[in-house]
Amino acid sequence: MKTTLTALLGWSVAVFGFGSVLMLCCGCQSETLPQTDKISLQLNWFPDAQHGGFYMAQLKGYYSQEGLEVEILAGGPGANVEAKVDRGKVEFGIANAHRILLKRNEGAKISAVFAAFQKSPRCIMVHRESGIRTFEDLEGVTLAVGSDAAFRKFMEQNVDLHDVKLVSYSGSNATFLQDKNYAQQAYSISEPILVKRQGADPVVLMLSDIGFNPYTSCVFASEDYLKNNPETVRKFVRASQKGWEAYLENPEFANQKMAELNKEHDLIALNQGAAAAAPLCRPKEGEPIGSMNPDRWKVLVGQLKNLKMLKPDFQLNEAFTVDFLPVH
Amino acid sequence: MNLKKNAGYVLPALGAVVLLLLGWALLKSSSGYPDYILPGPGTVWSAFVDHRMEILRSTWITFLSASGGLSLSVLFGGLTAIVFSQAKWIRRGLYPLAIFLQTVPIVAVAPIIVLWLEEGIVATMFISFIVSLFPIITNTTAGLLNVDNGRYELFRLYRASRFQRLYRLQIPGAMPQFVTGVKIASGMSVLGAVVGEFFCATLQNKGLGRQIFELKDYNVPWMYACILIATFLGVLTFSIVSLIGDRVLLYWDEKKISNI
Repeated sequence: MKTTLTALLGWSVAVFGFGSVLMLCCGCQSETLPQTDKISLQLNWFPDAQHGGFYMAQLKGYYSQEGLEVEILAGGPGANVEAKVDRGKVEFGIANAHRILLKRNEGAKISAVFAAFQKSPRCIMVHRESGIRTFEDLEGVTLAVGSDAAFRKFMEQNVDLHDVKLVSYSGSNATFLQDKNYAQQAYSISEPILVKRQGADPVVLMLSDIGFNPYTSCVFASEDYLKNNPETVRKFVRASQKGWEAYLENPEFANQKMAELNKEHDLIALNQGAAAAAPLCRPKEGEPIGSMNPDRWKVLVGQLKNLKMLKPDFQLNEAFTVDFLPVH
Repeated sequence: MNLKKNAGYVLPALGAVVLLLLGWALLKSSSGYPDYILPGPGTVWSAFVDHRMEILRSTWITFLSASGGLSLSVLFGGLTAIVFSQAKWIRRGLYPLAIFLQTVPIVAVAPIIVLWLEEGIVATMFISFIVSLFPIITNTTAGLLNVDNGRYELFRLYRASRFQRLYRLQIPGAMPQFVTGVKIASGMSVLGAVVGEFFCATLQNKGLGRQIFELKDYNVPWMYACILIATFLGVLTFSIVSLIGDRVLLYWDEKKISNI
């Protein structure tokens, strides 16, 4: 018996060792990119209305007018955009403001330069039949949330969820469609539109209404890249801004392309999504599209510290900069 | 077993751990990777200490799912193997179905399983069960069929019933392979529970899988701690199964001897 035990100990060590070596091998290579004007933009999700302006800039030739050859890379659940940008695999990435802060907190040197959405489309989607109209009404339902812990923790802190069963969100709307007591995380510009077309009658509760409102679809790059390529960044931001202006005016052109790339959506859904996105993207009178306000970032830092997701001594520092936005 | 012999087992193992930690720390300091890609061993350790209560709680939840799934596998797998051993046509008909259990992409099926079963420990147990079932069925079936020819003839001569043959001949003979099957299944049951928690967990009762799923976005050292603990949980489950399994084998051996 003892022989088994000691053999097991040796065996555990072997397993532990093998596991650790495997982990150490993850992401062992890092490349440096050549300094050309051929650049990549890594999206955080499959192409949809949250990325419309970038596709518009590409299709309308705004990037090429600036002398940039831009490749837009579709994302998905495992896109890991922040790491790719920080490690120099791609020049630009799209992420929401809180994710940029969370990754900076862990040592990534990345900065946001442009915010496509002034107001976060993050919401909870419920069935109208449930009678729920506000966050205070949330009870007696199952609520599915994904891996994004920030807004979930914010809800747990600010909304009474004692009678809500929190479960994992798999990325599919199937359960929502068949269960009237099911609620799920959503983007107001996407899932509610899709389920409505499948016969459901959704009500959305905006997270921004209870105060969680990070800038969404932010363009960001590594601090090094910003320092070494300010002209390219300026050109990219300028063209992206033009793209978003064009997209909010008339999204159809870019939506046709995105409907081809992302089969979950069709042109009608994307057009409705773009219409819903417009009020979220337009900044206050007199401010250009993409602009960011330091106070908003500071509020977000405070909220994330409150949720114990940032170190207590975390500083905003270079998490964002408006230096590359065209001066109006 | 004397002290010197014990040391002979423990020292090389300890040495390997120390070397490994050193190598890890060296790689961390020489590579300059940020913590969100590769935290150093010290950082992971302090993440473990800071969050030990949450980690322990998650480990317990994952352990419940895994041990529940494994228990179901042992029960259902053992019975299935007995049924399989009874006739060729049963095996021909159902064995391919059992192989499906092994080859089904569980990551793809898990979101569908949630549609049938409610989220929570029942669903994660079920996924752990599916993942750990096949090694038990296949090993035990092989063991039940691998009967010594001479003994089989003896049982036939004495006109032993099918049940007597099963109970007195096949089951005792299959025990070593049954135990091997359960040992293989034990590690897989933890894997199944962790994967299940990615999709089927309730967030009020977060197992290690769900923790890993969320922590990748905001606390990678803590995530590493969870991954290491999940690995250890697999080893622990294997160890417990091995201890019990060896005892069971010893018991059957003695029984065999006393029966002769």
